[in-house]
Amino acid sequence: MTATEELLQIERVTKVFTVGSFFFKTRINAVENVSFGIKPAEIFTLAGESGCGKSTIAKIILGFEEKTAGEIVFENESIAHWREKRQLFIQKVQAVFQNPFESFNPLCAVDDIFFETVYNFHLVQNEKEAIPFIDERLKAVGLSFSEIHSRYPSELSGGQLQRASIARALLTNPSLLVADEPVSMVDASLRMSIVNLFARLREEMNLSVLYITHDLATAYYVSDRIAVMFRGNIVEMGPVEEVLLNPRHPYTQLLRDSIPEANPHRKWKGSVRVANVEEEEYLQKGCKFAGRCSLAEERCRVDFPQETLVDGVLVRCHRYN
Amino acid sequence: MSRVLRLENLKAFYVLEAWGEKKVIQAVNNVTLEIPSNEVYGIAGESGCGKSTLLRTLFADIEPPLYVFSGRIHYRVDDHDIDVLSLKSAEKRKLRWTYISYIPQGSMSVFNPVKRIKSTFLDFLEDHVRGKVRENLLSLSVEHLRRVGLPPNVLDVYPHQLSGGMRQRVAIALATLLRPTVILADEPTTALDVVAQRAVLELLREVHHELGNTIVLVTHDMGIHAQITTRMAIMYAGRVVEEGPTKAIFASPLHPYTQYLIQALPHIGEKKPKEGIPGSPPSLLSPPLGCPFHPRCVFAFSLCREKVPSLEEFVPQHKVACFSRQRGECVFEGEKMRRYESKNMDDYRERG
Repeated sequence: MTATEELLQIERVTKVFTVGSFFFKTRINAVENVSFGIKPAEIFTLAGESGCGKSTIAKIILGFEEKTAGEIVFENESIAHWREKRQLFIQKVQAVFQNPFESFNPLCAVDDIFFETVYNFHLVQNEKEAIPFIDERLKAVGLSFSEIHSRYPSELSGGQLQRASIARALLTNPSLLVADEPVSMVDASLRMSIVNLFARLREEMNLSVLYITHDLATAYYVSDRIAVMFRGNIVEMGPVEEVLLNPRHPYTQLLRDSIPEANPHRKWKGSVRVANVEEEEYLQKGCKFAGRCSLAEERCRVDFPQETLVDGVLVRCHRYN
Repeated sequence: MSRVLRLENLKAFYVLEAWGEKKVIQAVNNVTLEIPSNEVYGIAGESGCGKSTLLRTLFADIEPPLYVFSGRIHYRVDDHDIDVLSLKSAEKRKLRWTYISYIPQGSMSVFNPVKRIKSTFLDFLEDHVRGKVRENLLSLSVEHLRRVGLPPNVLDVYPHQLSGGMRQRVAIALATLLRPTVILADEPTTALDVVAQRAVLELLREVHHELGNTIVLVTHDMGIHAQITTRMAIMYAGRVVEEGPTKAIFASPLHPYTQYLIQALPHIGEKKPKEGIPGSPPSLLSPPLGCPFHPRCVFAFSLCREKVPSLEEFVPQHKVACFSRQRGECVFEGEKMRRYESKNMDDYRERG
């Protein structure tokens, strides 16, 4: 294993799901040969539509899902080695999930899970030390211990709870935060405060964030690099300004054009085509986007396109080969 | 301007009783609203501000724990106002789907998962169209699906076989089958990704153009409002705080809450720091006295803490419920304001 500057390196990771009944099994490559790296103190966005495999990658990184093939390297050590010291791994890699109301146990007070985390990781010795410790992390996200003390999840708003779940993730002083759609359940007026929080934590704590989202506007606002996924493949990856202001892959262009822009003077032009059945697109030969692409040629339906580097952006499209 | 729906001082509250303790959730609090015909009318607001409940009351679907405490709901059918709350349920049922229809939030749970789409369509048609045989009804559905750009073979599949975007389009096809005058859509695209969302909204817009009817669209996404609505209302804590043409609301929001909401929207190609609104929305169990926004408002003064501002026309067609605005205090730069007023007047002249 060679030493790299990447904090987390995903190398040709593949995940195969089998669907269908016993006799009619279909193998679906939910994630296919995906490679990318996250540098220390970087906010990396993984974007794409629902069912493109972006959450599967998060689950594989966190160890909730087994990868079928490929390698994941964290801090220059293979994930297989990290499995033996799982406790240390979770201490360094923490997660924030989509729905804060589901991440907290509705029958326990919100602060219970904070105490549980600090005791499980032996971060403090007793309750006397724990409270200021927890309070400090809560202050970093704009909350305080008194606000969550013996309050139940149902008593807090979605935005407060999501910030609390980020504070909980920060307790162990992680170097990587895997945030799976952290703002899609949060109200518009509070969404920016969560996204700003990621930017601030990166500045202050050198935290890297894998920001998984379908919201390209906040992705542009907060992240450094972005990878756009489509049906299990990364179709375009590069600096966020390059990819979103000057999209090269037809799918990225479609995605960009489909954002409901908050400007009533710039409305959508033309119309889009949607996939009828997701499974068909996964099983398609050649480029998986060919069925919906207006620029598709004969070879797109036959050959799977390879990655090409165009002006510092990786693009997986025949037009650039 | 003719109208199709009208709410008058409507108060619809949820009343929950548990262990002898009574809780009243003031979801729709004194709302007066007129929805004009032939518009895509947006209702915006954060989760828990009462926008879905408002839509339920518009659909006259009032069942415990939801109770109407005061006010009226009027439908305008054949140039007559009908007071919906006084109708019997059989009469309400007759209006549904032919006069007013509803597109629910999650299309996954709308269709029966163990029946083909076809049988849902047939169930629906057999109930509402009299004197036609099965084959005719089926060909009616096929024709309608073709008109909204869906392949007729979707009738033969089970709901889970369709992608989320397709399923929501089928739900729209079902809601528009009998060419209703009003279509209520409750967050029709929340579970969808951006591309499918765009396709669904475009379909709604096409249906609107074809039928010339009114669509009431509830969503928290201001981008969607900007894209497809022509007029909109902003709700906060159970009350409508601003109402006006979408373009005017985006160009120069009058209520401080709307101003915040629009300022905070991220745009691609813009990295300048943006702030969320400080504080969080009040609970509808015990909304603050006075204007519900005053604890988060920088313009709030003593009157805001005591009285609730009423929704009043501030510039033609554009209403706001804000004391400091009505006193002329919460103004952004004067220049921008003047530009807005002259521009808005032009817009109205154009619309006649």
